[in-house]
Amino acid sequence: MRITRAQFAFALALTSAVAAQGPDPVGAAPDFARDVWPILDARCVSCHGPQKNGREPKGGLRLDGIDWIRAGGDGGAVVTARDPDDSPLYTLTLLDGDDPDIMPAKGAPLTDAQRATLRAWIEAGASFGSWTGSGGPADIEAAAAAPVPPHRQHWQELAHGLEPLPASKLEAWRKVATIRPVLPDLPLLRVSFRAREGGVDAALLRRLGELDQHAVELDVSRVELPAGALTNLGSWPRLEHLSLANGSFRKGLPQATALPRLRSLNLFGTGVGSAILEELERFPDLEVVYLGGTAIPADMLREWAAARPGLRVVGAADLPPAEPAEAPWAGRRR
Amino acid sequence: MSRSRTRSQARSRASSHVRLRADDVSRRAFVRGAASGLLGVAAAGALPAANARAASLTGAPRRGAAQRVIFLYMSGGMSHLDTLDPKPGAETQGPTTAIDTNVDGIQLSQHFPLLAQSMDKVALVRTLQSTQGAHAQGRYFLHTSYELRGTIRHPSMGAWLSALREPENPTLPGHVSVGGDIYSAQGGFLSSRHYPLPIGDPDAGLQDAYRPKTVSDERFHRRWERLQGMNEEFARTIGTPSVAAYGEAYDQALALMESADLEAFDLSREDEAVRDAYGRSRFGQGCLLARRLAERGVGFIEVVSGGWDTHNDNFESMEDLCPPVDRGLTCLLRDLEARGLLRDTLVVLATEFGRTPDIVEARSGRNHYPKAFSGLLAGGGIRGGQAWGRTDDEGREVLENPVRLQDFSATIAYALGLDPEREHFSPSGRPFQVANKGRPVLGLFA
Amino acid sequence: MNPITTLIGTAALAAVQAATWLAPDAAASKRSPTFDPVRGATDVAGAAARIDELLEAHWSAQGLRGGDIVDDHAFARRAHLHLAGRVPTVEELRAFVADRNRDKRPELIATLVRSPAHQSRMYAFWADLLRVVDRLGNQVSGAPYEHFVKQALADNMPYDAFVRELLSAEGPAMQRGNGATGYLMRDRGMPEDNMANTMRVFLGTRIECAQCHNHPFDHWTQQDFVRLVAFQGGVQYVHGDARARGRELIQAGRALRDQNQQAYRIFRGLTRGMAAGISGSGTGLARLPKDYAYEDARPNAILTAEAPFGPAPELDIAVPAERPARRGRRRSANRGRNRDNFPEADSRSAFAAWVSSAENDRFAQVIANRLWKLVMGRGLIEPVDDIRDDTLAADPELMAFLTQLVVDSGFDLRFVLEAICSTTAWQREAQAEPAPGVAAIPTGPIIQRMTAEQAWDSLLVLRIGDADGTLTAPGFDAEAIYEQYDRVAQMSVDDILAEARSGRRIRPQNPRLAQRQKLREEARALGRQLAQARRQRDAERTAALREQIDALRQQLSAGGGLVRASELPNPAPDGHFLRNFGQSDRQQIEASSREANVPQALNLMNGLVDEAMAKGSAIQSALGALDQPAAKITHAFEAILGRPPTSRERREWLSDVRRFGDEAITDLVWVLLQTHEFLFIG
Repeated sequence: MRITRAQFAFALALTSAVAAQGPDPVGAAPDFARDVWPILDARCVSCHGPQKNGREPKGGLRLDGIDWIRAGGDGGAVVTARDPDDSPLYTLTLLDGDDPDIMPAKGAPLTDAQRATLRAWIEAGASFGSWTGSGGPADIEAAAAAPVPPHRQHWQELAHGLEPLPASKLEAWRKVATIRPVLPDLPLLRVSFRAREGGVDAALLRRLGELDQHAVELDVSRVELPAGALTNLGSWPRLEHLSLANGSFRKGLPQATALPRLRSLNLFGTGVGSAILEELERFPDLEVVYLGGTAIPADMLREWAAARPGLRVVGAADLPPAEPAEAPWAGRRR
Repeated sequence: MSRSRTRSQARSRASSHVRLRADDVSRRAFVRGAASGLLGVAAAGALPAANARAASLTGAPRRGAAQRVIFLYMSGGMSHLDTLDPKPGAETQGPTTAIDTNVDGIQLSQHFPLLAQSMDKVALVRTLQSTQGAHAQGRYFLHTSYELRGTIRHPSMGAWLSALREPENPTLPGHVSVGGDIYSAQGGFLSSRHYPLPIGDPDAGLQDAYRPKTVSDERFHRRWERLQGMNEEFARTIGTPSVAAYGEAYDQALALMESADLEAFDLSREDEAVRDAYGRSRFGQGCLLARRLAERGVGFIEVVSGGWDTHNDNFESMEDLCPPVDRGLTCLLRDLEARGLLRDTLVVLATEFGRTPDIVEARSGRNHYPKAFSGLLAGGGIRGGQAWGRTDDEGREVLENPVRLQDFSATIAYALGLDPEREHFSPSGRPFQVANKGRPVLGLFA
Repeated sequence: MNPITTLIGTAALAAVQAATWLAPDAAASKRSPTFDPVRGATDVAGAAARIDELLEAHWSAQGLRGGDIVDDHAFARRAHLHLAGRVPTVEELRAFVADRNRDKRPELIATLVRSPAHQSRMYAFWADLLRVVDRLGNQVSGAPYEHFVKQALADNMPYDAFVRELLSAEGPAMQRGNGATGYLMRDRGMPEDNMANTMRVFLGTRIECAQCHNHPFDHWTQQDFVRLVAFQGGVQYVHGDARARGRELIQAGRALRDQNQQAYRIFRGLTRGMAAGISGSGTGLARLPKDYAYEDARPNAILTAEAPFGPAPELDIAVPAERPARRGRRRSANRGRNRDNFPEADSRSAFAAWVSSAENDRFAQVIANRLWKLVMGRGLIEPVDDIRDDTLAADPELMAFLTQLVVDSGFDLRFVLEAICSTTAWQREAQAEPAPGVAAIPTGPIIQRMTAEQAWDSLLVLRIGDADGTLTAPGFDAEAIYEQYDRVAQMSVDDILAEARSGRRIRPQNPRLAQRQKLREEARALGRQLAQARRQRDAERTAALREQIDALRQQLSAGGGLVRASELPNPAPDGHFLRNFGQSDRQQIEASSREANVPQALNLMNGLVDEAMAKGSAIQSALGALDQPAAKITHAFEAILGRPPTSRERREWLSDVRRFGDEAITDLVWVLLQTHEFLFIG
């Protein structure tokens, strides 16, 4: 994949604009996939899309994928988030029917409603939602470029502005933990102590804060933590998944710990009781919580889960009873 | 592959009046994406799915949700019709019947009643295709994505993973095969460090992992030093790769002996009820062992279920073969899910080929059939509750979305974040890819 | 000119001619009319000298020189491991070294290849190639097949006759003398796979690709393959007698199944294995698959048997006219293989004769190359089983000579092996395995890790001393099977039904199970004595008894006991030492492996070696009988590594003995067994 410096800068500008303004109010803005894409697909992509026989799309611009749109064309960016009047994708549709630059160049101009949709979408921040379309500015000769799946977009946004962890620190941490990038080219990290015999001692815990900006996942399962270890972990602005499973963790989530993006919390096999349930309310974005093998009574857990349809509550495994002894295969070893 | 995007290029809008159609497949994909968008259905799942098949992977993102793989290998060629792709009512079905699952519109054979209740976690792949119709070749191809050759041995996915990625657990072997043989998981031309650690009987665990009590630490290390001295001397005079491999094996063995994680291999540490639930078959206990190893960060664990070569008495055999797999697999999925491990552990069930839809009446058997057969994936970023691809009403031909075995392997690689396109070089300097240029089936991912 | 030089001269002449036969077009001039093959050659020394001559010429052309000649210790170890499949005992080693006879090396070779130990060693080689297993299927014992292979080795059966038997055997698989049927039974229901295996094992030809499509690299077509399969056309995996009364038995069985499940199970047990066997002399016809994709023939067309190379077998078979297909029976052709009921045409024996013919020079070449590889470590042609028309041996002249030697000797493989091991080349220093792509023949045998069987049998020598004493006569395991077969074959269907209804399972008594039973009873008796000794507080007796019991238990737990590998189950059970060290699972041809892995290291460090060698082992008692530490050290080195210690090694261990006493000797045994030097054959 080759992206010019200018295109890359633009992509950054776009994402930063989105990130700076925060999420859009629900319902107000047009949804790209639902409202905007049908317009582009019907009126633009035949010229500004993948071309046969290795031809360039018109103006070096493709509009059939998120990265393409962000990359712009030969003339530079075509969308500036929140500024429709500086977005050729919109402004060129406003030109007179006989203007040589009007878009679409072929067929009737866009309807007013279609123009309005484009404008509103850009105004609202030009978010693509979960849409990725096809590929990015990859190889045209390969005809179809790879898609950017939602998770990548998500992590790109999450990683925005984040410098990679200095190599020396990364090396040092690799000695005591398994540290893997979420995606090879992003600075976000999965951090796991799960399979490290050394575990996490107090000294290590004090230094754990070095990873607080980069960790998207923190796995301290199967680890004996020093007493009170988790009372002050500090702020982990990007942490989405935390696993304390099978550890010595007993009660009380880290109080002074800010985990604003926590989506998944694994407390399987810990000593937590039903008091934990109340604490979970602190994490509004929580999507899944694992509470099997804890001291919480199963029926209480069921009841609690039933009242929270947006949250996936995973209890103990529903394992089948032993096979009947007279089963024809029982005792036979395959 | 570099594309010229220079500004000096002519950009006359007027010059082109030829409408160039978008690539057909991706176009259809957009339309479908758009349509589902209009209907208010989330387009996220469908879109990359269909695109992927046409897409070049150059510069594509890596999914990489899976941190480890449990690979359940049905050795001998599992009959697709009698397991994951039943065709109720078809002449080719024989006496096997189909049952509903907890996912609307997806049926399994009667032999998988437990899995049927966990179908929402599973993505069936019903259109696997192999080019190899004999066992040795088929197994080899399934595991390595390359054809069996007399001249080179290719690594299987577990060995690639071990070689290409730093292990989660630095002490335990990164690659374990329970009940495997040399035609299942294998190290190929990679260093013996990446060869699978074979476990014959999961009940017996890892044999001889403990030093006899009569030998003290001090004495053991005295022995070890003397041994190193003699071996170094020998390797100096006759330094061949196979001798060096023994040096490595001894070093690894020592590290393992001194590891607390050894208990992973000891199934007696599990509740009896859990062991019963997984089934007291070798395969069931193998699945339980796989879970224990996955929990401790072993990267690739293969568990083999043998005896699927049902040339004779196919239908009678299913009653023996399927229940342990149904039980072992389903328990594994549910157990991993409860422990929060299914999100980053990919569970695969695969076989070297299917079996002929035509029943050999004289033997009530089915023969080898590489043209269309089934496997499944779950966890590790896979979207459960789907059946990928479709075969015809008699289970003979692939009707849509064929998945060649190298594509299937590429899908596993992709889930792990390995680049299926990247070339790696064997010691003899030949380039190989982890899945022999297979293309991941992105539609299987959530 | 003495007769020996005449032989060698003639053979050399043949070799030059044979070298040109490798070219595909020279088929017409296969044999020079002046050449008179001397069958039953016995002159080992002459053949060895000629091999040396050819090798020296090869090396000098490559700018190489043969390595140094190894000393007697190294030679004895090499010869014993390669030919007897185990390390020499200290006594054997010392006797050989002390021998003043100038010809003692060829004499040792001659003795070893005629020993039962050699049969055991070669059994491992053949069992790997022929995939010998204890069970050929449900209720079908593999013991008769194993018996056939072992008997052939014991009798030094000519190789061509051996292969003819395997390929053309007919009759009940469980009947005495019919063990060769195991070769086809091994791939029951899969005549195509069997044919691919046959081509690979005996003719070094990989044709399995053509099973489903034309070979991508070689010239084999799918038609070639089907024409080969046609030779074994019409083969059934039930013997003729069983077919005759099969219907009656099936009906009786069905009736019984509905009445009495348990009796039915016994009935099946009695009848299933009974029916196993091979019938059909070969129809010489086979059908193309119905999805045959090439233009040159119709799918499902009937083809006649035809050999893809070599002299054409004598067969006269016409393609029968197709009966018009009946409606609604579209798929019948592929259902039962014998639906067609083509007439018998003796095509199987014609095929066997073609494969094993002296005129089919790939047959002799393949086995010559395999034997060369067995003791030299690398074939003159590699891989040994993917030979193509344009394949060139590392030294074509040498290859041709060896090939001719196989033919001239009357396919006496023992003779050929003896000749190769009697060369000067085989006495040279071991060489590292050459890098892939290096064409030159190494200047000495290649250093190889012991096979699983060699490692096990060597440890057995140290453990019990007389390892070869555990060898049984061929057929030891099969006797009971034959008896059972003979008994049931005489019974009428009514007799069988009556026995089934009686509810008594009369099973053939496996002699090894009986042995184990005896050991178990012995252990139990000792246990009672132990309890008594404890009550009497007789510490000495208690300790002695405990040791005896431990030894028995170990023997019981060693998966069939402390016997040579060839006496253990085929293959050894999962997790057995043999399997850990790469014994083939016998599922695939030559699936054995010599790769290092962690369990092997664990096994050697913590398992078998430590405890077993420490307590009551032959090596421990031998060491215990020696007084001087220096003598103990020398003995341990000689027993395990086949050489005395260097002066530095002796010094180091003497100092350990001074510091730690006898513990150091146990440590020494442990360390020596872990060394690369022990596990590798130099």
